[in-house]
Amino acid sequence: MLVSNFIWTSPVLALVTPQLRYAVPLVIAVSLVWGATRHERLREIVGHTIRSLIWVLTFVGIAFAAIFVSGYFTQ
Amino acid sequence: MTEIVFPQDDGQPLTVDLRNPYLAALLGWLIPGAGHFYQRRRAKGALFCICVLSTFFFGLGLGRGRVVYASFDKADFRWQFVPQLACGVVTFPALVQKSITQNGGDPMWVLCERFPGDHPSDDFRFAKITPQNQDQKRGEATLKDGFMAPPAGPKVLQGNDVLAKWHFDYRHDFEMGTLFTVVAGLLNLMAIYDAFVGPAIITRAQKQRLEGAPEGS
Repeated sequence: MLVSNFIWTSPVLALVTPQLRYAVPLVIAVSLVWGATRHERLREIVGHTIRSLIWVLTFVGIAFAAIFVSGYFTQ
Repeated sequence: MTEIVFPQDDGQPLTVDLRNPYLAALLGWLIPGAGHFYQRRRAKGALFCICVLSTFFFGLGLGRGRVVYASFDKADFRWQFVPQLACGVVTFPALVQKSITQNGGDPMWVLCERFPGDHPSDDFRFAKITPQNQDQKRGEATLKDGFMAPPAGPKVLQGNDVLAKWHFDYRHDFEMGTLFTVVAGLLNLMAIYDAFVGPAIITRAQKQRLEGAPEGS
C-alpha cells in the first residue's frame, strides 16, 4: 500500500501533471528575458538562458522535493 | 542620441545606440519589444515581443479572457492588474471595459450571459445560460461576462458572486492565467529597463572585482 502510494505520488509522476506542465513555458520565457537583459549578443544570451534555466529548475526542484517530503511527516 | 560602450571579455568593446531612451521606454511599454526595434536592436526586440506576448496571451487564454480586468472595489481589489498593465496596449481593453461598466452598463465583447444572483433556485444563481437551461430565465435581467471586463453584478467578500463562479468554473486555470499575465507584465518591465539603459553586462574582470578575487586569477 505504502509503495503504491509512493508510486502514485512520486515526483516523476507529479511532474507530468497538467498543473506542473504550465511551469515549463513560464520558466523558458523568464530565462530568455533574463538572459537577454544581461547580454547583447545572441550567443551569450542563449548561454545565459541555459544557465538560468538549470538554476531555476534546480531551485524549483529542491523546493518541490522539500514540500513533497514534508508531506509524509504531516499526514 | 545616447551611445553606450560596454567592455567585453573578448576585448572588443560593444557599442549600443539607445537613440532616445525615453521614447524607447515608452514604445517598449506600449508594444513589448517595440523600443528595441526603434533602437534597431531587432533580434532582442523580437525575443522580448515573442516572450512577453506569448506569455500574456497564453495566460489570457487559460483564464478564458477573464483574468485581465480593472477593478479596485473594496470587495474585489484586483492588484494584479497593475503588473498586467506593464504589457501595454494589449491590456487597454480592460480599461475600456472598466469605464463602460463602472456605472452599471453592459460590457462590450460579451463572452457569455449568466443568471442573476436573485434566481429562486440555488443551482442557477450566477450559472452560465446555455441552450439547455435558458428556459429557467425569469425576466430579461442577466449578467454578462465581457472580454477583459470586471465580474458583473454585486460583489460579495467571500460569498457567492460572479468572481467566485469564475474560480469555480475554471479552477486552477484562472489562477495560472493570472500568474502568466502578471509574469508577462514583470518581464516587460525588465525589457523596458533594457531599452532605457541598455543591457546589464558584467565582464569576467568586473565579476571577479565584485567578488573580491584578484584580477587575472
